[in-house]
Amino acid sequence: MLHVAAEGFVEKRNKSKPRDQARATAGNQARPVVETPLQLFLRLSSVLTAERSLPADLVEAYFKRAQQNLGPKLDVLLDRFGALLAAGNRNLIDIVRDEILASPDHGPVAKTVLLLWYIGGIQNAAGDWEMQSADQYYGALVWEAIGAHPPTLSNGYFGHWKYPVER
Amino acid sequence: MDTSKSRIAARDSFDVVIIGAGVAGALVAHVLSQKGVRVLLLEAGESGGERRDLVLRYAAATFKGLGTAYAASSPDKIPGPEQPADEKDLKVARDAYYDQQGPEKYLSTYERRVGGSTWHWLGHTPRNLPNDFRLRTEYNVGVDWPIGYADLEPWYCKAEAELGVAGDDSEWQNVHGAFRSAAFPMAKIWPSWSDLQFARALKDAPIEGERLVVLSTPSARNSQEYDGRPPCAGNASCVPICPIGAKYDASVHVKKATANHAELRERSVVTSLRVDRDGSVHRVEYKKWDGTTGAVSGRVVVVAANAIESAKLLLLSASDEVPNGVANSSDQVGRNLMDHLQKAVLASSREPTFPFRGPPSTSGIENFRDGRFRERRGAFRLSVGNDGWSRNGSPYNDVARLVQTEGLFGEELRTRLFHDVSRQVRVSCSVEVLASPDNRVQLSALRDSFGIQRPEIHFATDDYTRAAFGPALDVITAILRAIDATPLVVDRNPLNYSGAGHVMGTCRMGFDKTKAVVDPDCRSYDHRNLYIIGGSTFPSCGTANPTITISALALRAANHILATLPQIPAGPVERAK
Repeated sequence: MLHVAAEGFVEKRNKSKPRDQARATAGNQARPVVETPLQLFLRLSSVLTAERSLPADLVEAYFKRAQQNLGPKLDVLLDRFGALLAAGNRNLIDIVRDEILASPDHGPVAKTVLLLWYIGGIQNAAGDWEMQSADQYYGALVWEAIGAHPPTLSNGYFGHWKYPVER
Repeated sequence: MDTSKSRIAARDSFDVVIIGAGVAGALVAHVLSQKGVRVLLLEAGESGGERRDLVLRYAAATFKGLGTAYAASSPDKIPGPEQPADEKDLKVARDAYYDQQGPEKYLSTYERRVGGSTWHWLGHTPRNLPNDFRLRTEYNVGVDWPIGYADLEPWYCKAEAELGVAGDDSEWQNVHGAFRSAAFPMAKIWPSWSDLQFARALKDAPIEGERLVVLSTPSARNSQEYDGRPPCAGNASCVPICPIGAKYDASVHVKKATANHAELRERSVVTSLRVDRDGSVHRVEYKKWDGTTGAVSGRVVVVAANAIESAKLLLLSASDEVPNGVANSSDQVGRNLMDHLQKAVLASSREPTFPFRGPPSTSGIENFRDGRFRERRGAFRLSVGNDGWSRNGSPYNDVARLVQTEGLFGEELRTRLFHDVSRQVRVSCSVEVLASPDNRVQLSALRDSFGIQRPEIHFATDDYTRAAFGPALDVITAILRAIDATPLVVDRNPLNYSGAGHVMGTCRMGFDKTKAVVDPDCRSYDHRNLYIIGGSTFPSCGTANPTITISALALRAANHILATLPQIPAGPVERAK
């Protein structure tokens, strides 16, 4: 699975990811270049999730899904995010916290994107997390975050559950 | 075609016709086919796709229920309590099938497919205790079984070998007097880190004056390669599906039986058993998913559906000869429906327990499964979970709470998630239910989508069961205190419980043919070439998960069939012209 790294991502987690096969890196400094909505989506996703690299197929799938689900609100969010990036030298985490998540307009949109990454689904009106594919179920970030794995795929050996999770 | 008048071709006549390819039917088919007996397995459901495809279907589904992986290719042809009439909510599917007459709802369900509900069982195989077989004698409640623990013990050993049970011999020798004459086929499933914390905390902290012992739960789940299946890799999904077949399911013995030339006819819903003038039952009629009908004949017929489907079939088979239904001169068919009723307490521990890893439960506490208290109230078994608060929607709900309510993201979100979820624990109780003639399965006036009368279910808990919840919750609360865990909530309403999926009763065995459906060999008192096997024959339910007892009884019945088959005449078989 191809992983892509977002530009300007400043927090590098000291963690190996066995599913990584390739990474596209572009440095950590924000650069005043015109980025596509997909690139902005990736950069925003990376800050929201603290994942330095994200699977390329899921980036594209989630971008499309977010577009379908959020419509123009996503465009507006990404435009704003792009403008904040272009404006200069603020820390990306501060930008996302203060200007995006704290915004009554952009916050709910960004949270939907974040939850999509963590859960692999978008919550519908009935409160259910709608999933679209097995890849998205297995790619949900929550499992690794809690020191576990998606049910039905441990990649583990007999008895690994006897030992504490090391962090 | 009116099958009741049709002749049965030689190719449709068998030594033994078994109805139901779940664990009981599969084991009997395996044993008999090994001895060259000509066996037919009739199964209402289908085999379905490859395990890998079932797992992927589950993974991709929004609603991950018990039946998600097993949705039939034509759900309308195999209506059941887990077929997704409404995929979103299992309760909707359940009550679209059961005609629930109350006063309480019967909560447990089952899977109608080749291999039956063992596809999504947890795999736990504790045996019944000696006193579970003699409730009336010891405690003056319920009824005694017509067999005792010692009678069944050798068959428990054989069943453990067939299913492949992992357990600890030193822990399980003589628990409440349940002696073991053979070692477990393989070493125990390792306890979880969480189990070890519970065991450590309880070691020197007696509760209600009693030292609680955390025991590894015997499980039909491989701790090493066994019977061609791999060891458990801790995929944390025994329920609803083991992705690698490390956990036993009855498709194992269906395959063994068919390899021995037993015939399997799936998608064949049995609609009637016909009684001959001499009182024997040979003719079995069924309806296929394609709408055609069929009829077969067996020298011996074995009803091995489950406690609801077996009773339903016997009642459906009423005729002029047997107006109350087949095997029902005692009027006990359908009565005494049981389940184990459960309550789970979720809590947050001070130290991490690292849930969501390994089988959903690997240890339990057996202290309260027997004692003089059973004169007054039900026994209970406690299980310690490795599945956090999954029953409350964790970990998805935790992410949603931290993001939407607390506004967390990035590393802070990751840190808090790990902190909160890694401390989630669960302890559950599973409470004994007494048999009651009023808890029963009858035929509903409503029909299912395949045109067959649905099971009408009457169910209520009594004071004996309700009185067990309080002490169970007291013990659970004390245990949680001992491990320094804070419960989310302790719901003491005795009407708020969940089912265990342990469908039992409805065709009870006994000594007295006026009060029982089958004899100690699971043979019908009314029709001596008819056997009824499965959890339906349990006269009482104790606190043990029923599958290993179902299996032991099935192997014992198979042995009896082998012994009696030579004396049983062939049925009214005519060669096809």
